Amino acid sequence: MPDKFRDMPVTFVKHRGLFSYSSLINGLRNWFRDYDYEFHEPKHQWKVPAEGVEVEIKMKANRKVNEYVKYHIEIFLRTYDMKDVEVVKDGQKMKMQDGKVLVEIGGKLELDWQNRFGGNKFLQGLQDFLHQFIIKQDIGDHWEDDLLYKLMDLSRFIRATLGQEAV
Amino acid sequence: MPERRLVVDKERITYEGLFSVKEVMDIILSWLSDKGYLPIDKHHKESIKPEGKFIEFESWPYKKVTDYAKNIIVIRLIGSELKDVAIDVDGKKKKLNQGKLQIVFDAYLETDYEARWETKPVFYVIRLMFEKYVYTPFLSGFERNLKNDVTHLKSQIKGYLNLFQYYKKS
Repeated sequence: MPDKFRDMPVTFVKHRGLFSYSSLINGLRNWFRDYDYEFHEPKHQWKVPAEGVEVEIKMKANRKVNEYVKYHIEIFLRTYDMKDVEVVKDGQKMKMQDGKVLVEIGGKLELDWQNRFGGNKFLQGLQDFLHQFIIKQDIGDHWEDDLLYKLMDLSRFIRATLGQEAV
Repeated sequence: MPERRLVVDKERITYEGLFSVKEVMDIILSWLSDKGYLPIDKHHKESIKPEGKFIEFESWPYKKVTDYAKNIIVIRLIGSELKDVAIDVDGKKKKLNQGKLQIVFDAYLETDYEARWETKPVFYVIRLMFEKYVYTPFLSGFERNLKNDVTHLKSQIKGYLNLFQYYKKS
């Protein structure tokens, strides 16, 4: 049975300290828009316990690379003990947040998103042959690596937005 | 399930003093790019504590040597008690970090990473015999190259950290 989805390794970004929540969320949305991803947020949860605000956001984005390949990126963002603070930066007062952030970045490569090879065993076998011998290099060395670099780029962008040292 | 052989076990670089975390990361990333390794970041963690900044970074870059063997290097970078300092370099202020740095290296040689020789028990036996009696010199060569890669990366980072013994804080 040919595999339709290839999972990419998941990256975790954890931050504890000062950050700008609005810059992070808007930055992520703009990043997806700039790279032509269809983007939506299936989950956006906001809780206000005594210790600080807890936010849970799930973001899903996909992009049709060609008529056979589609990239999927999934982000799970969670903040803990988030409190508003006022900070003086370069002589200007700014409103930022202090707390903990956890961002989980994952992705997968979808092959045959139009389901052209679905239906019968012969077509599935043909697709298997295609994946194993004809476009094996394209899948493994081109599209998978391309998606991996995009996920790394996104991880670097999130770390830079959070103001981390190791970017 | 591919077979993994441990080639390098917990080799460390421990340093205390002046350095730049960003430049250390740049050295690692450019080395990986030059050597053809694909960087796979597992996690980045930064937190601010009373004694200073704490950074933890883990990466598992890999390189497919052949269609049967793959080099995996595990790099764990831990920076603790980091404080921002400014030093004078040729009359210009340069922002660095002062604190402790520990980098731990592990390396694995992964064989049959496409899991082609595990679909049936007889294939598994054939693969074991092949690795033991036919492919041993090649696997030894791959392990040697992997050890040399890790040694080279360590020497690059050590060379960079040694530069800071000549710097003074302003």
